[in-house]
Amino acid sequence: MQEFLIFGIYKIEFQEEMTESLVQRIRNHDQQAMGALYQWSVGRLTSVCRRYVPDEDDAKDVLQNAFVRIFTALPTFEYRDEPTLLAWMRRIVVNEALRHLRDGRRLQFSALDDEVGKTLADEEPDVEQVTADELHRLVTELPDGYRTVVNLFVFEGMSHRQIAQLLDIGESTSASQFYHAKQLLAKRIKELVKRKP
Amino acid sequence: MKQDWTEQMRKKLEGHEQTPPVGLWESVSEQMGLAPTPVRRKVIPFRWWWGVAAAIVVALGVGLYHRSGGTPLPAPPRGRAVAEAEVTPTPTLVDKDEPVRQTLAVEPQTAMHSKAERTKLATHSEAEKTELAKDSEAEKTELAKDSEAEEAEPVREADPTPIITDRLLAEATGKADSAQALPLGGAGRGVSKGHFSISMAGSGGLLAAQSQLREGRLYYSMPSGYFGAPSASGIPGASPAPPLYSLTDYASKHHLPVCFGLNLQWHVHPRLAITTGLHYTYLHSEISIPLYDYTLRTQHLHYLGLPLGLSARLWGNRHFQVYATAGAMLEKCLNDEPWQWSVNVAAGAEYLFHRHVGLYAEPSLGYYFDDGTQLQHYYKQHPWAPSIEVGLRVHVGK
Repeated sequence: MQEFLIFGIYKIEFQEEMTESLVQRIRNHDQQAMGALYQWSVGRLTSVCRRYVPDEDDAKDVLQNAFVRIFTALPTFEYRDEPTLLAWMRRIVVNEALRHLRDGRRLQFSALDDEVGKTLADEEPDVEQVTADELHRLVTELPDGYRTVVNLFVFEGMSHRQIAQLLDIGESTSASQFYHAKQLLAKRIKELVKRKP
Repeated sequence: MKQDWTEQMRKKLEGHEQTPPVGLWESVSEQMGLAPTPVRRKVIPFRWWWGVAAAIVVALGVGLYHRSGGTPLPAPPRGRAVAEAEVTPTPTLVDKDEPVRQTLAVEPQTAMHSKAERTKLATHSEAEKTELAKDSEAEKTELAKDSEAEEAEPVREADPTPIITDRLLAEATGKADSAQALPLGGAGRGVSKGHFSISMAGSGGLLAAQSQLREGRLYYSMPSGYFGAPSASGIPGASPAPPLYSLTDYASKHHLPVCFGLNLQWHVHPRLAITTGLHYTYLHSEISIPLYDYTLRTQHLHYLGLPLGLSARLWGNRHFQVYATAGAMLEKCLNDEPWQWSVNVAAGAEYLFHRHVGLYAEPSLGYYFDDGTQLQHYYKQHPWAPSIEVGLRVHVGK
């Protein structure tokens, strides 16, 4: 009579979200559970993926590989909670995206003569004036090198040192890429805000 | 300190979602050798709403009918009667301050997920397996590296993580019929098999279910304790026993029952749960015998009950769920002999304001069987007892 004992003796353990049972079911090769995990995460993982790989066909390849890796590696994943699970899945997507960019020799980190003027750094853009979709689009429109460093630095919270190690570039190159990317992004955000009625 | 605009940008894109590429799931399924199951959008099971609404309307309707003034209740009491004589010289029993009737109903079902159809992954070719194993190892290494990085500087993109539901299961596998399009729980909130819920509740009678003034004749002596009790009662507070009499006109009034309890719900199936618990019911009645002494006597009955029922989740999402319950309850009167049987059906709705805690309301209709004694109380006059139970439910599990 476990249910009665909990009042006095048993430690009350709150029910975990269904994700835990879902993970367990996937370990048992439950196809429906795989579909559920896919549905639960695919919107957010697509957003992450396309920040790195804007092209839809390429993004599809990356996501496809990522999901296969996720389902394959899930039995070894130690479930703690939903944020942890999602973070783990996102890291797989990011790694897959980086692999895709590296394989396609898309990562060029040379200094670009972009449209950014040297005086633009002073004024910060008003991010509140743009929507999440617009911000996402502006990030995806950055050149590959800029975009990758912005994603890793801003969204993954990595340091330039870590980025340098991951991308096999110099730390100063990462910082420089981020500086230019930030300038360019700021300029485009400001332009977008300016165009708004 | 002013927040850097890139930090604002990061927060703004937290949890951002985009439509996945067309055919992605099919490609994943194909690569993994899963059975091809197109992803479909959720089909909202409106028919459950209609079913629940109809059940509530029927419950209310039946209750109102049986509570209406035009519905006579059975024969004059054979009464075991009055206990506590209050020095109230009025023979009338009309009480302006009706207590709220409260009844505990069967613990409702929280959302649960449907039973998964176990489907083995099709076997990969050896080459695929090897490649996957390799990739997996590489992934682990890479992730380990990432994990170290996370330790040093944790990932800041903590996306909100909504609950996974069976709706998702159904959507993803193309089986999103209404029966499957039910979320947890969970909590919400979904509740998976093997989990249970606890609720503390009280219930109130419908406004229409006012207790009635009834008149009749008593054929038995009323020493003390209860209406028609055959012998002196040792109940604390009971009035001294009036002398024996017969064929005396009387008037009685049974106040709405008050009920509190603790319910436990054990989920034996993704959709079904067994409910039980412990209920306390208080029945308060008043009676006067104008031809005898014009005094107003009161009766206090206390019951402890053990409910047993089945609860089925009908529909739900992350914060809201609808369910139906049916069950029976055996109650023991603590003052006297009777054992009281009753059956109950209810439709309920629960709002989960926290992942593990929800508020619920549950209109119900119960039927109280005759306990075979002469004891007079509310349920003798109103065997059909509609009520609305409200309570707080805590979902706990393994």
